[in-house]
Amino acid sequence: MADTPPLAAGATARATRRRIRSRDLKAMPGFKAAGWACIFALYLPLVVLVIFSFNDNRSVVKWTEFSLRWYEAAIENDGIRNAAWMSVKVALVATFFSTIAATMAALATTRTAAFRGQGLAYGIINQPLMIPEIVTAISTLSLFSLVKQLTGVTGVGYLMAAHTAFCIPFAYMPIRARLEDMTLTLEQAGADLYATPWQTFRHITLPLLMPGILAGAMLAFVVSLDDVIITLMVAGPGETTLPIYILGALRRGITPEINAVSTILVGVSVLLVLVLFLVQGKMKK
Amino acid sequence: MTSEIAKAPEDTTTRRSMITARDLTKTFGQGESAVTALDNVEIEIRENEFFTLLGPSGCGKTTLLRLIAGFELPTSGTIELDGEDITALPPHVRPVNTVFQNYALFPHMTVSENIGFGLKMLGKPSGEIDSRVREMLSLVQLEAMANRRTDQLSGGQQQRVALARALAPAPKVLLLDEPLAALDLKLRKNMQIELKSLQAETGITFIFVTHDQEEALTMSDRIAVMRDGQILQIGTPKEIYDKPTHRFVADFIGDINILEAEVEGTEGDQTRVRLKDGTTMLARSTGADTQGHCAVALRPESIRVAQGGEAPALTGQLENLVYMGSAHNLHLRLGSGEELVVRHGGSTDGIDLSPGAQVGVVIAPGGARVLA
Amino acid sequence: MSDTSLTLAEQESRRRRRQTRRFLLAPALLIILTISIMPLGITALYSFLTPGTYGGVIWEFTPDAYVQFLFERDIFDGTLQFNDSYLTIYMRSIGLAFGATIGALLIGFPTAYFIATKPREQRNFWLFLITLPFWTNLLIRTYAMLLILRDEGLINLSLMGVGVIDRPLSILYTDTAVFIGLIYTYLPFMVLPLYASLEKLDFRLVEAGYDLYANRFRVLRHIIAPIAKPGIIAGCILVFIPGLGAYITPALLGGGKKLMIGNMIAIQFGSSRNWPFGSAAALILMALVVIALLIYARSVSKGARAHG
Repeated sequence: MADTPPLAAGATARATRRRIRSRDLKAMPGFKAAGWACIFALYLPLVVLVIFSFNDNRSVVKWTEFSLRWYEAAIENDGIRNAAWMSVKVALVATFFSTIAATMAALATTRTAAFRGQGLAYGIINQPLMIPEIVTAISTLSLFSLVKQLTGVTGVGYLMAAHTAFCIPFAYMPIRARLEDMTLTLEQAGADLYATPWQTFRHITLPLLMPGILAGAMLAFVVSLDDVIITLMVAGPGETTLPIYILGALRRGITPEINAVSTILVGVSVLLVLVLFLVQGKMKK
Repeated sequence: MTSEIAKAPEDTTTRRSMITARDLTKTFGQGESAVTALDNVEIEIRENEFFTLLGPSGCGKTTLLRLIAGFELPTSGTIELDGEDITALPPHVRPVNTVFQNYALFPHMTVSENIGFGLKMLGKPSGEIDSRVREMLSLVQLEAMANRRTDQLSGGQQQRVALARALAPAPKVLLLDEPLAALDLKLRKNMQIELKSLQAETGITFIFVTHDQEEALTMSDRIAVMRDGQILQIGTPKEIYDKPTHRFVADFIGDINILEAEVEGTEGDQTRVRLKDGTTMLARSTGADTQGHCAVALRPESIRVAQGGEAPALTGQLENLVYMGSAHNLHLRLGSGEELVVRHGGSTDGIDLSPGAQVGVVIAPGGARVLA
Repeated sequence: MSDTSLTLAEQESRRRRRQTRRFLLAPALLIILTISIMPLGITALYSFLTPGTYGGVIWEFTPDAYVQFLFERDIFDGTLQFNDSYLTIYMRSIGLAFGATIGALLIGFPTAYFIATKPREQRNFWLFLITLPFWTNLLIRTYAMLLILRDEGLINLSLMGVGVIDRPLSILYTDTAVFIGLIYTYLPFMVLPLYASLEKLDFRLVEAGYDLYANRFRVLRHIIAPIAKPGIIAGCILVFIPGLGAYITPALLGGGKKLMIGNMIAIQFGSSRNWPFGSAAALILMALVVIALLIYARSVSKGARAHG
């Protein structure tokens, strides 16, 4: 047909512009900048640390060239190797026991009608998250020293027990989340098909819960690896974990090996959390 | 209207009893917010029956099913299975299997593993399980899907796996909780026929739950119509349809006209009633409330237009005429203000069917029934 | 006909369920009770005992620990003199924790809002980005912050490079450094609850506000903020309470001069060998935490009543 008259075309363009401007109602002035700044600030220190761990130069600020020498130095350092091994040992034991305890607790507190004492149970399970870590650290130290006096038993078992305790709430959270996504119908179907309660758990509940249990275990592992304060108070001589080693090294002065070790530790944590997020993403289906 | 009504089966009530429920009550919650899902229900389901629990949502049919399966415990009352009291038995002990509404297939197992699950739990040797699974797969025509994961199947296929899984352990009773609800119409019709023949083939008692009255009429040997936790009537599809004993049952099944009336007296097996506009007529007594206020139920197909010199039983003004192909549906407004739907199957030559015309109708013998 | 009485079968089933539940809960509850909760009682006990020579305690009861908190015994004439050094530490901690809370709120709120207004598919990614630093080692994160704040660190170098200053600003080992460090540490704790609240915000309410001639600031104050209030309160608690008991941040960034409660307590169990005093200090800290929690509980229930 005939072309749109010029007056109408101009009006349409103006209306479109107005619509585009007003669509951004959600945005608040400066909030977007603040958001980006926040993320930038959160990552900047870590990024700087990682970059300079590859710096050939001893200086933590002047960049010379890419080098892995500090990583080599760190790996060859006996103190670091022993500390790393101790960290892993404690984390593995703590993860194992805390995940089992957390799985059982999650099964008891999820998908059930409200029961008496539920709030209290919940509070106890999450207690390590609610009290400042320093208080838990010295209390646990006091308890252990008392037990050591009374029984004479020493060893790394105390440290492992302390780690197990504060790992439980972290393992609990993803397991509970996964359990809540599972309806009871499948377990009912199992019972309908002659599965006893134990068989139902073994063949139906457990396989379906496994992604949640794995996620909880990974979280517990990361949290145990990263712990500083409780370990600082409770660990005896010869029970130095990696964070404690780094703390001690920092007191003596900043060295590039610390950058390398720190980057490794950060890398491990990031990797585990990344896997965790991916597993959880798949679980949502 | 409904397609085929089940051909008259043998009288299943002569068979031995499979499920007997006595005084069965189930309440949820406590005190003021308590909900009574089942109210002193009595029911007897026979061996080798296709028995349907029919009713609107919330009527208690699913609760009754779950009580039979063992997923809920009754608040009071007893349930017997083949003579044995199973009221307190946990579900994994009862020889009863369920086809769930959403199929509840185990997502982490293949089709074969799903079907063989019950037998595995019973500890059967793997050779026996394998052959039985193959048997079931061919029964539901899913041999090609044996090793597929369940999320790779279509809705209809999942439904058949659920069926095969529940039939594999050869239970005494099969419970089906609205299993066809999620299927499209064509698939649904096919599955109805398949289920019916499966029941005949296996001889297992089927207890089928649905809210679709057409489905119930098509498939069942007997139907229990439920409402608000109570069973209103149990009977064959023909009995339920032709001789409803309760106004709700009459209204729920098929189309029906219900006219308000007052009882005047009885004449043999008939009752004389007075309608709201003063007309009196005879209707079959049903043993329902036969004093004072009552309702007269008439199926549209038991009424036709008075022809020749017939004296009409009722007269009304024609408001709407619907041509159905095989019949005419006439919507008449009676003198009492009530609507009367008439299905006139024969020819309409010679009848004045202009809008507003006064039309007289005659009722087939026994076509009118008195209900409470 | 029974209304409230249960069949024997139902009672039996309930009993069995209770037993199973107790069995399942036992390990977790026992572990945490013995290792994390019961020891608090021991700490309370210890606060009334006498310090042992090499650490530990001697079982003689005395209120000395609590006295020591506020007073100092003059070694010559034995009189008690008011000593505000410990009080100062507590005051500083409360101030820093409170300041960090406000700071985290000012930075965290726009950030949470920013994420909440992103398209739905992207949000998980942004949340992951915000929480990832939380899962890395706190010590390392604080160390990285130290590298940035020190005299030869990134901030000073860039400021000097641009020419804004001539000599490096001594940021490190000041209250400011600890303040920045605390915000940096606990920022994810503020953003996440805020996001949880803001995510529920129906933006049609915001549009309605604009439609009714409110400007941006008013919309923020009267529409968005009240809905975000539960998230704001939760976030503040999650920053304030751990902030009160912080150890690593003041240790690394305060350099032993700007002590917070956490450092002070740790020292008592370390070089100072005064366990009873450390226990007393810990209990006083717990008292502050409880007060903060009570305020939180009250504001939550008041909020519930206001909206209910």
